[in-house]
Amino acid sequence: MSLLLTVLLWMSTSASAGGYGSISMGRPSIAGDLKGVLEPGRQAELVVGADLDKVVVGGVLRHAVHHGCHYELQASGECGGLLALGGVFPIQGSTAVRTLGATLALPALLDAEQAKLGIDLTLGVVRAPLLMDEDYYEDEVVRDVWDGVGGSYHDSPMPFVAGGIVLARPLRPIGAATSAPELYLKVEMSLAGSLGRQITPSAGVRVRRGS
Amino acid sequence: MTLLLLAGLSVASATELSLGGFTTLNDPFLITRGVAGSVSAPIAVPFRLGARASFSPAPARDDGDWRPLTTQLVEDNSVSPDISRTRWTAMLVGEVPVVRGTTSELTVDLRLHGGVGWIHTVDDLVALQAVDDERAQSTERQTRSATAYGLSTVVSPAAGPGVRVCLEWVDHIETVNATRLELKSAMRLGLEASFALGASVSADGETP
Repeated sequence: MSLLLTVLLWMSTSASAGGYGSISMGRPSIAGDLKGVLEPGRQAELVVGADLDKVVVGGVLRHAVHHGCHYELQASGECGGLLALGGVFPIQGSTAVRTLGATLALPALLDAEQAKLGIDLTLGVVRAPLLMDEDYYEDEVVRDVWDGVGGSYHDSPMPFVAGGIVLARPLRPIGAATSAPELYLKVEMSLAGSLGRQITPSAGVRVRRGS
Repeated sequence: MTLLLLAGLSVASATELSLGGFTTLNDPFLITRGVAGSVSAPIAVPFRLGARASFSPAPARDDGDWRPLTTQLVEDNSVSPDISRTRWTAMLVGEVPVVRGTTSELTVDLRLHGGVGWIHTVDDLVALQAVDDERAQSTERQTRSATAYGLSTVVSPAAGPGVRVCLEWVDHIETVNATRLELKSAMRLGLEASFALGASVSADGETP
């Protein structure tokens, strides 16, 4: 992955390709089994890459925080965990989700003067690390409260795939020799390993083909 | 890290450095102040990639940074608030100016920034009334992933250092007492001096 990011950055700073950068804030909502356990979160995304005229490739870094239902309430089925009824595996509660990936985007499939409509595809890995002390988690949470049934969310990186639709609007250029930043709105559907499906609306700003 | 190094090498002439102080505005329990700074370089003008960092020293006394509410809770009500002190943050951020105003002597940018990184916190076991509690000690010091986002106003004179006023939110999840998880969002206000290093290229990529 590091090699991929290096190649992407080299492409972004070489003379033949323009650079690309974007930042955005999103509100990822869990749409799968953990829907009632993890509330919609707050996510920041940073994308750096190369603009190859009609195609953008880049490395993606994301971090999201979700407020989560307390582990005891999950066990009693009071927040959608439904462990007591044999439902989904419980999760620690409030959870941070990190994503590292690569994206391929067609940023201007439809290109009008005032707006651009595009799509993107992102592949990567996602982690939701255990934030509790591991010993207390195993003893007091998994063994005592969950009867030994813990989810595998925190064990290792999980695959991540996402696709999004992007609507962008150019701003006034910042300086005569620069590319105009574009404000954009995006709606993304994603699948993040055992965390399941997510829907993420986001808003951001991007710059294409700066030099 | 690879990204930052390569970006820095390729466009070092337009690197921007800022350094100053900050205070946290929305912490009801602690008065948090510290030093903060950033270094960034344009990789897709006017988009800048950079690093932001901050450091807050530990108070000289255990209760030296408590707000009156904390003192009241701990000493009068014997309530143990979950307090963590942020000691440092380190973030990889992107920054974009979205509005610019210029006069013959000044350039004023409104910039948005966002990124991801790390935060290191130390729990206040005195406030938690758990100084000798092994359970509380197990998560006393933590380094967690975090999110940073915000906006800045940067005022740059034609010559000399500029001034950056930065309003920023830092989100992370704190662990207290081994298994208690809390989502924290610190709102910070910073005032920094801003320097263009090797300013053969100005912040927007134009040669003066």
